[in-house]
Amino acid sequence: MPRFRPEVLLEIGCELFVAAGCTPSDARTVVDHLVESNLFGHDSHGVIRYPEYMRAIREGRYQARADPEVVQDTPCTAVVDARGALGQIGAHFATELAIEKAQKQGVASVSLRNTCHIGRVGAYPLMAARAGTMAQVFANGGHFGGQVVPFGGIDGRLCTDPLAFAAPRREADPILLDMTTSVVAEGKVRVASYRGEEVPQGWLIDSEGYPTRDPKAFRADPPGSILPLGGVAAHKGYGMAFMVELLGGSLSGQGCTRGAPVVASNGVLLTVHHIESFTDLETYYDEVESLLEHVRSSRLAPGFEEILVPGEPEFRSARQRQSTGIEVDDKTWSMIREELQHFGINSEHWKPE
Amino acid sequence: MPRFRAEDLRQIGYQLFQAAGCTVEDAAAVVDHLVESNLFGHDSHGVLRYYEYTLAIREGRFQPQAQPEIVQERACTAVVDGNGALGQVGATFATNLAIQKAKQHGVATVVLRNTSHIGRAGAYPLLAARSGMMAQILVNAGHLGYQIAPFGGLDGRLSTNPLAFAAPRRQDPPIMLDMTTSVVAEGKIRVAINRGDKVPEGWIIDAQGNPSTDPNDFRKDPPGAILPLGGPVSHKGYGLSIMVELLGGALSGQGCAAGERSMVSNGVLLTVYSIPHFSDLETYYDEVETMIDYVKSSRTASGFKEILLPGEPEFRSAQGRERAGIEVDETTWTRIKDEMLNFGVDPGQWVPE
Repeated sequence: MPRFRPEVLLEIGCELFVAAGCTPSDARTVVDHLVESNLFGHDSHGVIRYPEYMRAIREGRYQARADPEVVQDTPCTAVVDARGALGQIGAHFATELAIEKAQKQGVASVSLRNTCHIGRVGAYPLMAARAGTMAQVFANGGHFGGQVVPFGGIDGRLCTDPLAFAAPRREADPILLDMTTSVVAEGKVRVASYRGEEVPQGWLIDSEGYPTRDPKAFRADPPGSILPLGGVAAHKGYGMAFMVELLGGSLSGQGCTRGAPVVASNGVLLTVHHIESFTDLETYYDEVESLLEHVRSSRLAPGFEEILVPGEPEFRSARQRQSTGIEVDDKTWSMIREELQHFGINSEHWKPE
Repeated sequence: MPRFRAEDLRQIGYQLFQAAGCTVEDAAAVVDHLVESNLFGHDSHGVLRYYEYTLAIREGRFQPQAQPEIVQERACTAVVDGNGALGQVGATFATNLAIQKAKQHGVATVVLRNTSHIGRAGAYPLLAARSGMMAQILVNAGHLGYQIAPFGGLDGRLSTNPLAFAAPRRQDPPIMLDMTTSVVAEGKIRVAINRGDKVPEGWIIDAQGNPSTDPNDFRKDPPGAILPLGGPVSHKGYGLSIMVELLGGALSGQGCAAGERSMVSNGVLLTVYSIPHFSDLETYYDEVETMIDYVKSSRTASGFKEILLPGEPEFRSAQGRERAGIEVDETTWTRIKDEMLNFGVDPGQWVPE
């Protein structure tokens, strides 16, 4: 499999997105996000999207150049209409705005609509944590929602409704939680289906409501569904999906689940907290470090070699891939090269290692 | 079993807590909270606490006259020190402050420390939803933390760390989520121990980390632990628990889990959102009602008669008990009467139905 240094993938991406019409800084925003997904080990959200986005831009479904606009604004709140900008561009804009407001006011909430897919939701609280603030994000699928059953039901009525959170540490990578409120993200079901593998018990039911391990049941006609997070306590995952729908969907104006067949855009709410408006910064860092020390002092469960902090697997993967490079499958690499050719960009000097 | 109208239980409580030294408002904050627990069907958090709290007041452990104080304040944030006030008094104060700030500024976050147990976490977002606003609350137990195992570990290191959320509907009771980030609340293990019941698979592990259905394993020496929410994906419950520690514990100044065995006070963070600062109110209500109709249109799973919204079981129980009255067991009623006598209140006027 071709393997690239991350900087090479960044360079390729920037050239592509600029050629497709993005400003250099917008191109950088999108490409940084996608390459970071690869670094974190989430290849399904990484550079595999380059050709997909290029095609969407060519076909007029995505706008390479669109300026997000603040349509409602107070010192601690804003509503952003991204006017069809790429999701990473809209969400980046909203996050920077929320960080700036929170640093001035102590807390700020910015909602965002009309911006396609924002990608990994954890990326945005992470920006806030890297700026020394704490943040929560809630992202629904607008009117889309037919993947996840309500508690007590057997038909998909909600989407995977992710939420994410990040907080800074004194001298280490931030704490980063990035999770769907369903048992599993849809992408993982798709991957299992492509690979012809079974999924674990407890992920899926078929169209009649029976537990199944066949990922194809999810895409059958009539379709199966993903279960809400929680197993024996799935009413909790279901309740959290409502929280995400209401905060992310209704406050952004993107709307809540009602069965639309495709996602027009995520509906997003991001809330940022400025630590010093609540507590002394050194006290905060002390509390965080002693919490993590206490948690890690537990004996290990069988099969585990250590207790990790939320986000630690991602940051470890990133450090490793920074040094060993990122593998890109042949099909994706050839599709990326086709896109480069399409824009008349010479791809000869970007060779896999 | 003696049965009382909810209003009578409130009047009994007002008399008792005022006689014990609370102001009229503080007595109402405590009593309304406890009677609502009974109405919602959560009897373990209801009027049986009357005698527990008044006993604590007589013994000087609870301060009936203590008043919460704002120790740090900005337009949309505040830090409240409960000064040892009863939990419901501190949390009601903090909630009203957050509601007032959010109405003015769109969003507000208030943190709270030094206020003992705040009771049901869901009560406070519900206050906000009843004022037409949305709210999220995160509640840790300060330096306490020995009940919940971290993901990959088998010793209790975290507490049940609940989060709750509520949002208003146009004409119906609010949507309300009130959940622990562990599989189950500790109280349910205690109930199973008292009744001699087994607990479902997936709730607890014994001291060696083996799955157990014997609730006594949780209390043995060495003790077992409750698992984080999520079953096969319990890294999500673990991540949510860390989020609650950092927002509720670190920002409030109450501190994060450090292994203490008795709780001084909850650490609380409450964020309130004013809907009109983000979206037109009628549009909001339309989105919510359309979503609810859509979610409820799913076929039901076997064993379910209908799909309920988060909070609907509680509001239905309340409707039923408002009509039928609330049953109070003999022991509880006797002890409440004893406490009334202790504070010079004549219990003679209160006769069960």
